[in-house]
Amino acid sequence: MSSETSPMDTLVAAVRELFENSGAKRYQLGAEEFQHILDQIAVKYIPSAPEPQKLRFWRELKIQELVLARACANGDEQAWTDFLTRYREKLYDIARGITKDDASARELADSIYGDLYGTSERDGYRLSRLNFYMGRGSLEGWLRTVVAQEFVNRYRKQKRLVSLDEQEEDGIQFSAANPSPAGPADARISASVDEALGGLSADDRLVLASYFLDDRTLTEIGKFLGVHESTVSRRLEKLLKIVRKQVVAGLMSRGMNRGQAEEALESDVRYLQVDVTRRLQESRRAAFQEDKGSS
Amino acid sequence: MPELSSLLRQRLGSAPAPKTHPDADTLTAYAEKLLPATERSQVLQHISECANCRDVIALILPDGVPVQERQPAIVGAMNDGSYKTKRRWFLTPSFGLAASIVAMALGVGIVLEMPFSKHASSFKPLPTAQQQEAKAVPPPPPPEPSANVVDQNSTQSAQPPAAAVNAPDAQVAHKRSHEPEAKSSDAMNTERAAIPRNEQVITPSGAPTMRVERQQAVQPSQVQPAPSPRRDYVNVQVFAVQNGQTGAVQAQTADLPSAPATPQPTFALGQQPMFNAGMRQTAPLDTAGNSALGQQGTTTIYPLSASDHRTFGVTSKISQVGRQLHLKRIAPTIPSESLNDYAMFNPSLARSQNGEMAAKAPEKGEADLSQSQAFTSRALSHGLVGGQGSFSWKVAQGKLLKSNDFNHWVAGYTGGDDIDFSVVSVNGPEIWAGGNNAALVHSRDGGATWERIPLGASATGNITSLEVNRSQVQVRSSSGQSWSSPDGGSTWQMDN
Repeated sequence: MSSETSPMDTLVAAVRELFENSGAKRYQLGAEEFQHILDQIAVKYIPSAPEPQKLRFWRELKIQELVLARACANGDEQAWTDFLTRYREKLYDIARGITKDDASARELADSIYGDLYGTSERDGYRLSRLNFYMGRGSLEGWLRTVVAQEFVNRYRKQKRLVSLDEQEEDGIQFSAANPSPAGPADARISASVDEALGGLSADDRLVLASYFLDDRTLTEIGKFLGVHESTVSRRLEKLLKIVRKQVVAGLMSRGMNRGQAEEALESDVRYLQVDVTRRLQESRRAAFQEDKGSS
Repeated sequence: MPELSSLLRQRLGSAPAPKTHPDADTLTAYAEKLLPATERSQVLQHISECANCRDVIALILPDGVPVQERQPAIVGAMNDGSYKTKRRWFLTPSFGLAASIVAMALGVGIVLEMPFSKHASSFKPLPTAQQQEAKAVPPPPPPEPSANVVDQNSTQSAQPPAAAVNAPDAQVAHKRSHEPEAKSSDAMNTERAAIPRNEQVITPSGAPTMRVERQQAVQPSQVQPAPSPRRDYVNVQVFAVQNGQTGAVQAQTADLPSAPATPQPTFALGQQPMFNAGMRQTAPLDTAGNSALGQQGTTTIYPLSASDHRTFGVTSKISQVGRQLHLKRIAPTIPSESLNDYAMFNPSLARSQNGEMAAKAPEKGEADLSQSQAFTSRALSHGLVGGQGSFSWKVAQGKLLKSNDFNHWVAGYTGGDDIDFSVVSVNGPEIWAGGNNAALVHSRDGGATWERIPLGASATGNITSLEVNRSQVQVRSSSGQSWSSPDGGSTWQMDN
């Protein structure tokens, strides 16, 4: 009695079962193409994983929504009917929730619809953005992410095009044309701060960056971390104490005594020789290039 | 520390932005908390450095207010008066104070009552002002026996007034404080003053008592304690049943008074109600004379049998006596199909008898598979079946296979017959499998032993489906026949 069954047989049976439950037959999606989609996703996220891990990964995917998205990308009419029935109004609602403006929301949603349908072609094939949906999260959540990415990109592009008059109307005051030359700065301060920041965890750096760079409120940061704003407040206060202590220690290790280190922290940050504008522009340019590459 | 803040703002902004970003799927899974821990920490690391992705995450996070934020909102609403307080009544200070008073009164009552139930005659309270007044005034002559005054409360008592009439007038007992605790001392003094001397008071329990103030005119030898309804007792009728098994019980309970007789329910055999007066009436183990044995009131006593020793693991005679004394064993209502499965009465025995199957926790892969739709009826027909316990069962290439890791499958049928299996059904240790020529096999112990189940002489075809629901088993064959058994495979009848 040959009683041994290879793991590959088990994998094939499980994939066949996923195929049966995915609703692919409704959209004329074949088993071979379904297997190809699964392999493509596995290669992208877990390229060297063994077969059992792949099987577990595939089972965690949103298979039905994945099949719907890929069928839409293939141009299946039934799939598009189902997609529009389920997600058309949701997409407008998502855009309206992000832009807070009906006209902008409709414009943004229509633009996304164009990308989803695929208005451009490559090698004779229509390029649909739905081909990039991998099923790790819900399709609705993926649409929300796509709309948010598009909105952030537009905002950052348009922000550079705002006229000075509009900024003046918004109450923004501009600095003098010829600021006084920056005074001598101590490179040890920058090094000590960088060292202190490098020792923090990702959570702590997220709190500091969100608060000091993005000017987010404590409530928004709490939403990031899933905690209450008072928790964020206490955590921020504690972080500042830790960072200050470590910066002072770093300055003392770099040859300062405690009094000098405390005095150095009292110095005005404007005296530091760091071109913030240039660094921000660099990071923004890199982000745009990455966005264009991904889309 | 504004300077440090500026320093942090400047240094955080000067950090180089990451060159690669998580794709939309990963960000979505992060926002929906679907990422594994390692990948989540990577995304967290990225968004702590990338302002662009921080903006995206901030926009795609759900707008719902976290649970922790609701409380300040409620507090704010309470401050401006828009939030109506809904405090629970049992959390109010007044209720706490009242509960404390009641608890103290109950505690004092219990403490005072316990010693006086046996030594009521020795109780002599301190003289009150009224008693001192009574000392100054000459005591009135003792009333005639017919002049007994019955308290108004006694008119509602279930005890017949004859008990009060028959009681001697000179009997004095301590009045128990069955009156409401809320009565103030002034009200009680007023009531006490309104009662004539040497009056006999019928308590709500019907016990004739006399007020303590009259104790001066009473000889201690004349005092008889009132029967206490709270005194411990032993049901003599119950112990009469037990005497046949242990004499120690009788010796231990010889000095205890007997309990009032409990009305015996009269039911015909087989008509015993399952519930009686709030206590579950146990079903007899058999319909022979043992059924009447031990039925006393609302409790049924069963003599310990060999199976009881096995089930409860009690070897000490003292434990047997103690168990029967408490009379708490209530036999469960046993489905007929479960009578053979003695393990259901004793989970510990089930674990010991079948430790491998019961002790092994399901691995993650198995748990995932069991939650998937792989084990639907369709999957059953295709062969891959996950059984509860150590082994998973399936039918492949006409063979009945089992595995404990989904990788290595071995032959599961050890019956020796050459059966070309087609279906298998697993329900705990109960395994049914069918194959060609209407062959049906059954294992009650997870595949350790097998028995061939004959369907019937007219059964033909290959078995194509097996449906097992406890003792109900239904089998369909490729020839269109349908056989069913209502008793777990002992008898079969063809449905069509």
